[in-house]
Amino acid sequence: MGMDSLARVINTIRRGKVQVLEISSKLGSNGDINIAIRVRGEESEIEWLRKKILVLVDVTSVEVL
Amino acid sequence: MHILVIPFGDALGTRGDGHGNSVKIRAADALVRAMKNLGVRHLFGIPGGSIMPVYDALYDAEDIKHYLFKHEQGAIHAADAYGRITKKPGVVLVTSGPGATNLVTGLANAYMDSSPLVAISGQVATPILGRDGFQETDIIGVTFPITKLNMQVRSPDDVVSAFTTGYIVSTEGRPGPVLIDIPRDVLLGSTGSIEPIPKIHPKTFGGEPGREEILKALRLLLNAERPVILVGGGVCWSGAWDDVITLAEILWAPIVSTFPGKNCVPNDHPLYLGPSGMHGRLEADAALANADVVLAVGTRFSDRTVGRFKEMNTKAIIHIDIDPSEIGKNVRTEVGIVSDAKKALKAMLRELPSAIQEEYNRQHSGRRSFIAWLKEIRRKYEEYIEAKAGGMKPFAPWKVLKVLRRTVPPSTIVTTGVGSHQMWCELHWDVYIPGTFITSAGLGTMGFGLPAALGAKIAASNRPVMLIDGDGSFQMTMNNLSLVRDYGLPIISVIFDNRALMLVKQWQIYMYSRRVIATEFTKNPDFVKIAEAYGIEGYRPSSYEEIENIVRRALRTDEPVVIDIELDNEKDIVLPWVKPGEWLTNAVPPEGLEVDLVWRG
Repeated sequence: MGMDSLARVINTIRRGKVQVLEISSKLGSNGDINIAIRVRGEESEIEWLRKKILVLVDVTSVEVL
Repeated sequence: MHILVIPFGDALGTRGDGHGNSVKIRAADALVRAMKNLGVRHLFGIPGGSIMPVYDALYDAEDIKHYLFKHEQGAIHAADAYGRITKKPGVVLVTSGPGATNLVTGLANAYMDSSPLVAISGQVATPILGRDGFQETDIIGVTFPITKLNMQVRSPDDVVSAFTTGYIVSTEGRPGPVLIDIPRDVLLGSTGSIEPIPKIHPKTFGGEPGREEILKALRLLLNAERPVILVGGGVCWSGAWDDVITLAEILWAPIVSTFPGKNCVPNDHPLYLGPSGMHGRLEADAALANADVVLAVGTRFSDRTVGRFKEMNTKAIIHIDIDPSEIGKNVRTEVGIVSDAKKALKAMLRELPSAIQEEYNRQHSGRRSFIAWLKEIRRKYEEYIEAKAGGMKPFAPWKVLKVLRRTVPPSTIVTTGVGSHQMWCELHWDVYIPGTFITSAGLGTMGFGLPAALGAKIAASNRPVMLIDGDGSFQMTMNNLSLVRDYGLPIISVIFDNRALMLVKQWQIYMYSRRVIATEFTKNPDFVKIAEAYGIEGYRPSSYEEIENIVRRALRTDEPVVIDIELDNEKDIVLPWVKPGEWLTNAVPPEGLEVDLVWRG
């Protein structure tokens, strides 16, 4: 599922009205993937993105820093 | 968050030979057994090379009936409607390559209308994956944005757990379509153990709503001068129509709906004004436009419903939705409640007696005059169209709908295609029993209606099913008529035949200076003969009475029928209409009808 989960997240980001500055992902030994995305955009758009990613079936949590 | 416990063992139906020895069976057989154990009784599909192991496994499965379609799009729309009626996922079987890509529109349709289904696509054998094999398509890559979940199974031991997971995920929380892609060699492989699919966390957001949010919402509603309840499709899924009605009656608040929400509340209730928006009712547009507080339940605030977001943001909006990503997505909310609609409304009703009753009583009389004004808009419009109907020859579309409505029983399930006939239904088809109106609202898929009618009839064989379609929409999927006789599915098909893509033509007339291009059909097929070719009686009536008689006879004899209703394609313009991007009070009324949609107290 690893790459598919990542692709699902990327597909969601594609639809966001934000400028993507950086994406990195790390596959953990337990199969978890940690994805870090640095974006620029209006707060409401970032919030849209956070919620849209959170509702994906294979996402466990989203943190906005 | 809710972590799902999946009954893997139950799904397989066996974990051994009873003596502690594991029994290995073909993965395709295990899949079919899992379907049976999950209660799947109907399948919709078309076989082909990569999915053949599943069809082979079905050979001995007497409890599961397979419906063979002529095109995969028909199968998936039927499964979509089946899921909306039964509240259980419709299951689709297709082969790889074109079989799978033909599902794309149906998946997108189900995704947009939050409809549960599970599509299983065969795939080329794993050694050929990625080598551009015959009928190989990366259907997972294709369907990421239009599925709630999709996955490719790479091991026979994962087949049952993938299906079971997908089956549950499709109805969990906000429903949606799931696609499971299984290579042929995986289906042919042996399995004895069932491994859970890792890292799938189906989740239902919003259990019981917070008391503070509920009280805040109630305070807003009780203090409002013109509260309005906006009902969306989520009310149907939640089964919350009684709670909506009770709350509206207590608050004396008019109810308007989205287009899918029309299916979620009895349309003959005195407080229901109809759908608002692009092709909504004038009184519903006026209600929503002039509301000071809006309680929106199970809706995503589509631009199609509210016209323009700017004005909506001047209102105090209470938004209840099971999907947290919908709260604040399109409009600014005063109170956002992430919850199942029924749970939230029940909580509101529980708290209501203890809320500020006195304040509510003070406001009550003002609400009555607001509703009286909205009803006056309705009266004017109804009077106007009644007078105009005689001038529309041979038929006025809205009058045809009224004739049909009084002829078929309230429990009749109606499906539609997409186009002007659908918009006439939005305006004039009264849904008496929630859940009986199935349409492609979000994606607007022409061709949806006929296969959806078949899926509805398969789901509810004891109830009448009527398709109301347009000639353009009908022609996109009319090959599905073959299933009517193949499987004894007596549906009534009514075609609003204006020999045009009329709704597009309407846009050309109003928004492109009457530059009508590529929307008028020069010559249609004869739909009566088309019906006869499929062994179905076809009629082209010339009076309203004749329409009524044909439908009554079809209902009495339980026979299918195709009725071709010829319409004047110059006069078949659907008004009122809120142009794209316009505010609701700017609705274009029918020519000659003067009505002010701004409340002046």
